[in-house]
Amino acid sequence: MNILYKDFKNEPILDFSKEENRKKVFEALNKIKKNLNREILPLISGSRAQSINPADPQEIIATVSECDEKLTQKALEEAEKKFYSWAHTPVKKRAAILKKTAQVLRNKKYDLIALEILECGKQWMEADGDICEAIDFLEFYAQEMEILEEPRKLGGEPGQNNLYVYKPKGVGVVISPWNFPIAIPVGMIAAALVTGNCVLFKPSGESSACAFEIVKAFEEAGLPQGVLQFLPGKGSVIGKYLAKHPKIHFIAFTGSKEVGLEIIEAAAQTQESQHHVKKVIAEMGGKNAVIVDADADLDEAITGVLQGAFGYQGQKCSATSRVIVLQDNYEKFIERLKEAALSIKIAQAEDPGSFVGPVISKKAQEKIKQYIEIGKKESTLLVEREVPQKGFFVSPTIFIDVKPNHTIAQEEIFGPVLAVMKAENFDEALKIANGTRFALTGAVFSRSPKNIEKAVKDFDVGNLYINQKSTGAQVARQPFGGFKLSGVGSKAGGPDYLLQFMNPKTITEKTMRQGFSPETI
Amino acid sequence: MPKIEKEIQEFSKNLLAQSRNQIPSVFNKEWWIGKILDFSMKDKNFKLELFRFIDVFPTLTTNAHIRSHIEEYFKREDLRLPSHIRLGLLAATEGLTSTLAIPALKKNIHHMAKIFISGENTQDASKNLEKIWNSGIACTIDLLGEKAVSEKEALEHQKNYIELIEKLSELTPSWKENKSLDFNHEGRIPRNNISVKISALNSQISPVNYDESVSITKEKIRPIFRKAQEKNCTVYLDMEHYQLKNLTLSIFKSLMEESEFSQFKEAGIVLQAYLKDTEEDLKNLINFCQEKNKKVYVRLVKGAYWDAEQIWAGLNNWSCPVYLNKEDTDANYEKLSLLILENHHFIKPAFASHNIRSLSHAIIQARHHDLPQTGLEIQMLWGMAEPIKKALVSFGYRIRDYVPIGELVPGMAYLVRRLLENTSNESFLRQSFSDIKEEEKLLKKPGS
Repeated sequence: MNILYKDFKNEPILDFSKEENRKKVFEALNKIKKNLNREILPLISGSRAQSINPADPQEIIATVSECDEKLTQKALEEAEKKFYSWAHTPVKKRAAILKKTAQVLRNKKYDLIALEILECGKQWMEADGDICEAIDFLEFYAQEMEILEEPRKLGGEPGQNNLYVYKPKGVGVVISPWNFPIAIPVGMIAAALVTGNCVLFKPSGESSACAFEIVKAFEEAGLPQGVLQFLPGKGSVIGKYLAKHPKIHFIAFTGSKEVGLEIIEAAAQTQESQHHVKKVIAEMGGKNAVIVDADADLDEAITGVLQGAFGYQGQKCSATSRVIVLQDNYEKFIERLKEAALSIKIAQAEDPGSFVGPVISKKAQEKIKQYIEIGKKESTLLVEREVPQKGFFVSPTIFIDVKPNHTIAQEEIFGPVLAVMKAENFDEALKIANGTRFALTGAVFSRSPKNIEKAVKDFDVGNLYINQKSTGAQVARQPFGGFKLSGVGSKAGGPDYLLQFMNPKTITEKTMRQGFSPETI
Repeated sequence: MPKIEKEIQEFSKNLLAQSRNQIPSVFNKEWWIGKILDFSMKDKNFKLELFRFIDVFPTLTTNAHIRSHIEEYFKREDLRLPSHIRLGLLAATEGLTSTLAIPALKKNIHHMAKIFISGENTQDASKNLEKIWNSGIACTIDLLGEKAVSEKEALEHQKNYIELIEKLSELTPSWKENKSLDFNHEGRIPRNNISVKISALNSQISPVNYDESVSITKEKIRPIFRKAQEKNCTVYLDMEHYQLKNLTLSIFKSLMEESEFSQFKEAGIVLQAYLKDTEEDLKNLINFCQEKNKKVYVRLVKGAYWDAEQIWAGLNNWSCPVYLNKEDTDANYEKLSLLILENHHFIKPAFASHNIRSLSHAIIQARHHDLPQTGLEIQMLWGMAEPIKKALVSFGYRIRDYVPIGELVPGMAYLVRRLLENTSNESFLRQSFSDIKEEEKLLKKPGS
């Protein structure tokens, strides 16, 4: 079998069994705490908002000057002015800027980890993983574009030269979430830039300080001014305005299904002054299921489910939110899972022992708690724990005997809530797993070759994990993204991603003149 | 050839010659296990499917499940099985014969497990333990358990270890006196001896949460040490995978410093020669003992997670913590043996290996470092290398078997590790007793 990206080396995660690595994170945390409330400015100043520590809402990490429509328009015009020169900058140079940016992030790794811990409530290893992923995106897309840049010759008959090349689309917008506050925006921005586009970057308000670090890193790496415009502010203002703007060529979005579908709808309406069809690259939610087969290794399945469901408080689009257990294993599984869930540590992310920390905001906390109330009415509560009062904590919560049509088995909750279901056999388990509007990630714990094959064929997800948890996709090794209402199938970190940001162009030249051609002369 | 090397050669040749009169159980082709392992060593595809099948087997609760798994693993066109194996396995899947064949297969697999796992519980194992003792071999007991995924399970493991010490202390006094097992050069040593895994005692152990992992694991070990102190039992902390290595060392040293255990002379730790870090770790441990005026047991092993360490390092894109070349591990083992023997005032050495060359080197070097024969012990796994043990017993050495106790399901990981070891191309036992590699090559100084 042909192996893709055999030589691509992912950025190594930190080995925290080594004392020096732990020490550096503690030092970085202390450094940030001494220098709180940093100021974050867009290209042009507007109104102000604050980004806070979800574990301690009194702790203001940054104050953000927000853009309004007028400033957004200005940023767009500035970016348009830069498009021609950036599109004509040699790929080698564009790729080199990405690689340099990766190096800048590497150099600041510990500071960035600390910032994610404080601003987004990411646990140490989660934060480290996020920075590694960002670095991987930069290195990977740089490498990919250098390959794609080479024109491909089509056919071989003399007298005619056929070439296939890719061209940038134009000015686009990147709208990013807070849950992978550096990796996801860096991935989308890097892909858009390396393909020759200019970018208006609208980050989530909940991770403004992390977003600002990204912009600074590109700047430090030598990205020409104006190619990347930084537009902190409200999605309801900036996002809406840009999604329907006739001069925007593409929208790269990662976030909720609701907002994603709104963007797709707005982008589909062609304005009178618009000269192109807008492209939307959207990664949305998931309602990811893990199937635990009758012959599963329960040690592995329980650890995998626990990490998948409660890692970063379940605030990942890939998080495990449903577990479907074959009846042979059901009782034993829930008994051990319950005890395991009662054993994990609930603490602010700054504590390196934190398994479950605070969710991102008061709003998120309230929404998740509402779902927990619904779950209590629909099914049976297995685990709910005491949580700290200070900070936006929600208990890791497990429901059992959930039915496939229950609200908590259908809607994305984006929090530490897990629905456990029972299936009579593997076919039924697959049917339940496929029975939602989403198709992002899924996992199967099984040691039956036949059942594994069934899952490979019929488990409808963008990323299928076999005997491994449903989260933690790595660039190049596990291109990430789903279909159905989970996304448009663009697959970040894989071979099809950069193509989304370009228009292919075929060039045909008749090379025969007066009966001779370069091949015959 | 230097004089010491000559002595090592002489000793090891004699030991090998004595051992080769017999055959270890796993290579005995009279038995099902011998036959099946023999074929697995010849066919890699079969070996993979066989080991995967053995891994899943204990979780198969119904005959229907066993049948379907045999079909899925072994009824494949690309697997060409010799008739005796085909008959045994596939009969289990076919109509009438399956009612007879499945119990037979179950019996065979249980029999295989029983070669390495001495019983489902201490009661069950107690006969074996006395039998081992009567054959002139001491033991250290390891409790096989499911991975502790919760604190409830971790506490269960802790309780089991404490009960184990109790039971051993009731069991062992009636065993008959054996000079070479009951005494070292300094006096009487305990018959009770256990090996503990820290991962079994703290379900939340994690290198990133280092300090808390140390303190919580220590809380779990204290009652075990206390009981061991009370009942005169040796306790080794087993070494597991590399991510827990620093934690294990920190926990061990930190416990040794506690005033409660200042008089506890029966604590030990395991060091793995395949790790590039170990030399440094051993030097630190020696310094620690020197400064704190301690004397501890060190069991020197080659290391049992060699394949896994490479896979983990590869997936994380980390530099590999283990020597990739088997010979480098063997050479390191000798280097570390020497370092231990040079410091035998602080370290009570236990050389754990089935490799005749490695053991002979340690034995001869001990003589040259003025350590009496009873000052060291040789440790091996129960169910392996029986002929070598027998020969060493006849030479008057103290041999200690590492004896696991536990049920088949949680014991599977242990069993599969043993099967991997026995059938590995690099296995000294395989080369000695199955492939019959020539003496010169088997016993040569590593790296020469």
